[in-house]
Amino acid sequence: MRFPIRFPSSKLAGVLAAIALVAVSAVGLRLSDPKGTVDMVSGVPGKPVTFNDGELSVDRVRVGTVLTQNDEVRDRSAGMFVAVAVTGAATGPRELSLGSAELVSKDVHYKTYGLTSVFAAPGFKTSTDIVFEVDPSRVEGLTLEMWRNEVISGYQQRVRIPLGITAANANQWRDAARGWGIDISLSNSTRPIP
Amino acid sequence: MLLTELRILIVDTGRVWWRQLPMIMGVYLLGWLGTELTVRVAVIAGDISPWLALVLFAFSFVWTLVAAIVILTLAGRELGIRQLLPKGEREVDDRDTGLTRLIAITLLPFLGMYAAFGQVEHAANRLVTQQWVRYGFLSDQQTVLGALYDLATKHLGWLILLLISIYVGRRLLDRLAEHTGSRILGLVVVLIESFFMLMVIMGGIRVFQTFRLWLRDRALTQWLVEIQNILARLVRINVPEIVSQAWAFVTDQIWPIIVDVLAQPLLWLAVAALVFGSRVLSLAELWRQGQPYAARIPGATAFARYSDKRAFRRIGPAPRGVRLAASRIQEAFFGDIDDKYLPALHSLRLVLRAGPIFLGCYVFVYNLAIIAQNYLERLLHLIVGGHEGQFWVRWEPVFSLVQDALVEPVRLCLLAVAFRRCLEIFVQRSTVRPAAPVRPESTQPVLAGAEAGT
Repeated sequence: MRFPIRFPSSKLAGVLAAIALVAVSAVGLRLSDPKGTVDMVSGVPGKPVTFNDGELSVDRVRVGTVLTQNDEVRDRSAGMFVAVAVTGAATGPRELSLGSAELVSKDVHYKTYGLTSVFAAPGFKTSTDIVFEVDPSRVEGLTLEMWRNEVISGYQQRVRIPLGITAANANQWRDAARGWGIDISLSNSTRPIP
Repeated sequence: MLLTELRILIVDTGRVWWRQLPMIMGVYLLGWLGTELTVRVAVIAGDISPWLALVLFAFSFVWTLVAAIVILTLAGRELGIRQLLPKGEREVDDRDTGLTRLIAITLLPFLGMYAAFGQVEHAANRLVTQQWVRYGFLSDQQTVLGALYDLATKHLGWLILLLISIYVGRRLLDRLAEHTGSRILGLVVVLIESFFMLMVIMGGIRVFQTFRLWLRDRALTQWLVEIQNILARLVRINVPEIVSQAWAFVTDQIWPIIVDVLAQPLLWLAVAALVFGSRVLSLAELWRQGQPYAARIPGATAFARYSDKRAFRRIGPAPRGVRLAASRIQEAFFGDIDDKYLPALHSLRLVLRAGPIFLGCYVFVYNLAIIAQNYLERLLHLIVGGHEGQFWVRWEPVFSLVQDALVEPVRLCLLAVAFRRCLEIFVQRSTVRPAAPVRPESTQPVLAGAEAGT
């Protein structure tokens, strides 16, 4: 069987080389694109992470399938709730305002359950629970990310603290959540920095 | 062959950039300063009227374009592009070398590209951001593009009338400027042209968006959706899902490659080619066809003046009476379109015929410059670190200057080098192919950079 269109070999090689160069350019452009990049400030649970506006720490992580408030069941989950207790301190001259939060695992981004923000005036610190509803089968490596909510934003800082859920202990977390309730009654408190 | 093309493009670009560095940087900085000052004045002018801000916003692009044209001309001179013309053709000609003329013919493709690739929107967003900082987010002060969008969506008739008036006014002033030879009038024409183009492009985009929304609500669209659903039920294969996935693949993966990776470099090369003048482009067109420049007949190439083209095509005696009047009106309208707006299309057609290897190499090197700019931005981010939006609004002009001043002149030099390389490729074709009958006084130039077999 003969191919209906015949290219001279040098012309074909030229076309293939041109396509290859365009493909390399496309990959290069995609990899170098600075859009959407952020300045990640990483930390570990239990220790405050310092960034431009102050400090943030993850104090405690609780898991469960039921959310309670003032001894009343507020919601139940077919998956599992993760309540991350955080403390933000405005150690600098500006207020600390972290209006956006996500819980991130390998390929999943979980939004917060309800609206949550960490706000503290200069010289104050505030503690709050940030609640997420997650899929129990995808909790390995869950990491909290928080950042300032802005109408106009540029290259901004994003605080990133892993919760300590690893492949080795993920089953323990899942077991701990089963049938357990999380009380979020006293989830917000503000006090001066000593 | 591939390596030769890459070497020529990279080495020659570096060489031209280095040799012309002080001049190029000076021109670039002046252009940047003009643009920034005009934008700042436009922000303040928004207090008086959003239309005044819009007019000034349009002028800010003229600064950028003037700087680009001057840099391309400097690079072209360094590369000796105009020296390729036979001596008799090199005389100073306003059509080829006049700055106002060059701005007029490059303004449409330039603003068109800026709009298509999101740079007009980016510049408008910058202006709107500055206005937000000035007025606050909750202010009811109309922003720069708000007035135009209102006109395009709510008072389309007025927009069309305004565009016709500006066009007629511009044509009259254009004639007057040609007649008197006044440079100030020429400059006024350019400024009116920039406002006109911005109105056409941005207003046109809004009208198109409004039309799409209108079309979506028509019964006809609902019928098409219903037919699509019936077909899906009959065929059993989930046709809408397949179409939707194919569409997503095209819009997310293929289209960005076509627009950013391919179209942008090629269109820029076509616009840059316009800067070197119609005579050089006519020369390139003839070489591409395997003919020497001596074979040129006035009016025969796509880059000739409209009146020359008409004279070339005219058979029989010149028109008289009503036909003469009709001919004059036709020339006034189509002549303007042919002389100012079509050269960009002809130029694109020309550069696309330079061959796949050259185009592949050029696209690659062009994108290398953009990749370098991206990494420069990342480096600046790394050095400065993350900050809140206000910080970036305040310092954005400085950071963009640092990035653009290093990369933009290199990109413009690359455009000049690439166009020179196009000419070399065409001249090689004209010497390899059996040439058309040549006049005895033919002065075919031989290029120093041309290499056999490339």
